[in-house]
Amino acid sequence: MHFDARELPDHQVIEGDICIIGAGAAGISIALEWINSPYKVILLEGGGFEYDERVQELYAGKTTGQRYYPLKSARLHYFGGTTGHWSGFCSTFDEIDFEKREWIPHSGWPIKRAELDPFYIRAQKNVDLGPYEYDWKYWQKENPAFHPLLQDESVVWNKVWQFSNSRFGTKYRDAVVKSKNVHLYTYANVTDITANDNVTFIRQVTVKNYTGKQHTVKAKHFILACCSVQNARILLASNKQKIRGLGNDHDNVGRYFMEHLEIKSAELWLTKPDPLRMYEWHFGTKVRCELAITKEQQEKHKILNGTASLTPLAIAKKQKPMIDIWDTEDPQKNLQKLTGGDRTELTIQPSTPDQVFKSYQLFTRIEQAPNPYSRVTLDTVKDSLGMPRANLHWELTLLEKHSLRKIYEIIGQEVGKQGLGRVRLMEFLWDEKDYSWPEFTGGGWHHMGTTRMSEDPNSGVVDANCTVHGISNLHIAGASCYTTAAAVNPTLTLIALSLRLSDRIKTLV
Amino acid sequence: MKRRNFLTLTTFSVAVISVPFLYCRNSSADLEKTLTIPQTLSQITDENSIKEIGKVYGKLYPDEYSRNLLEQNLTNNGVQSVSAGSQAKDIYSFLDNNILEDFKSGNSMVLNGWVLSRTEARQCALLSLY
Repeated sequence: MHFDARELPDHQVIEGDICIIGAGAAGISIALEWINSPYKVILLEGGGFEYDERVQELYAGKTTGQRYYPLKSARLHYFGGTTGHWSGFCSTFDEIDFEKREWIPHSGWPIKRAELDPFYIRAQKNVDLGPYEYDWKYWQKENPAFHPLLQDESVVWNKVWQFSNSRFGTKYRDAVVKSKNVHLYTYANVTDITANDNVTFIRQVTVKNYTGKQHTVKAKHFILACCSVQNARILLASNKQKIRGLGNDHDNVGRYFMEHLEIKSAELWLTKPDPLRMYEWHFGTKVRCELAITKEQQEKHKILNGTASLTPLAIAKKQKPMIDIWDTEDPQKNLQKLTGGDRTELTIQPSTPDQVFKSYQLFTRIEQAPNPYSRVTLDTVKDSLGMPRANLHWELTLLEKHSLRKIYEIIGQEVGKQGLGRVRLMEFLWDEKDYSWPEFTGGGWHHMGTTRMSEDPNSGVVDANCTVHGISNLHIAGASCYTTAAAVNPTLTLIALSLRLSDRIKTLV
Repeated sequence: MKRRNFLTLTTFSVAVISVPFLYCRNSSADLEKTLTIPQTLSQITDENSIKEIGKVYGKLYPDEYSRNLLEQNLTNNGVQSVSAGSQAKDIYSFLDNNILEDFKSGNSMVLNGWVLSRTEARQCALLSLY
């Protein structure tokens, strides 16, 4: 069922068994799990079914520190969330991503990768991916043109990516709207969460929209499934009962904000031209690989997890950095710039069989080390609904640059060892003592870590089940729960985590 | 060495590798020339860039930055050696093996951004002294 909260009489009290706050990839994935169940599910979405400037504007905020995209245009604020324009990059986290790594402060999840395996399989279906196969040899059977750059994978291996073109807003709209027990409320922005007197249990949330109407939602369980910036913002702004906000007794909410550094880093020069189809990507690609560093090498060199994608240098040299393209507050305008020619990669056609290249740009996607000083805070300026706006201070550590440099030294050694050619690092990586970042350093629009998972309330916001420490019926879904960011895009894993959370809540209601 | 000569020699050296028995060298001048051509790099970048790499190596290892010492290090790896009397194919093979061993053992370095084996870095340095 669908209700437009703008059309309801003012001050309605809406009641259900569970309340999901946010209808993006996480929130919709959870809601789908409850269709035809005996429970009444309230799904709250701040926007409508289409882009609405007055709603998108609520995401505006300041950024400081490392240069970043405008917050307002970094996520989409309507039903389906940022899947409304994502490029569908999906892959799984590695085992090492969950482990405590002594050289990475604050690393180590309270769960292991294997616990997510059954949920990855389910998540895979939500985003319409192919079989749950992440070994390139499986895909080589379908595509004989696939062959790895490096034959020996003991140091550098080939990490498989699958690509989704699912737009949750259109794909799942009917399923949600036609459901009898899932009640979707659009234009229902949560502006406050109210707990019981000793703040151990959530009683209700307040929702508002730009018509000036305000409603109350009561439920047995609440799932905060906005995004990393907004999840933190809502918890911090719900500060009437606790001055620091909810779930923030230990000052962790909003901290450890993480992004994936995405940056051109090196060049691969081959002695023999090779089309390297296994690494090719264009719109329509189902599967491709990136070069990844083995766990043993990460341990040996004490580096972060990162991968390198390959783009023919002739094409890459025509591309503007993402950070220079995605520079306005308007996500639609930015998308047009991105697909309209500023970023040739997104408009190129599949290469023809006779197209071979001798040189490639190596483009990095690397995790950011968890950093308490990289954080979301509240501004004194409020939005049109009276909520303090979000400020983002994105801050990197020395480890990111050290890791980036080392990754390409490792790849360069392997390319040399296997007699394929040579690798050349870009100039910003030449000086080992230089920890500055060039202007073209960008992120992947991947917001993670602001309500991080930890068994210890002193060092995290949610426990291993994604329940807020000390508040038994407040749960968080999404990449804000990530303890570390891994090298790969977050969506597939956040859906898997959300499905896991959904299963658990079913045992609680 | 002039760029034209370098390119000619580069092309020629590739041909020597392809048809190893067609050509032999036996003068010290030829040995020097052979040692100054890092084969993989010379297929990728130009002579000036290689010389620049060599100068960076020279700054990092000034004690080694002389024609004699570089030539010594390039012709003797402690186990095997080549000399002016060696056949060209043997010199190239010797250098190729040393480069491979460098990469395998981690005896590599980053010079002007290039991830290079120590052996080919020395070749660049030697070239920069001509």
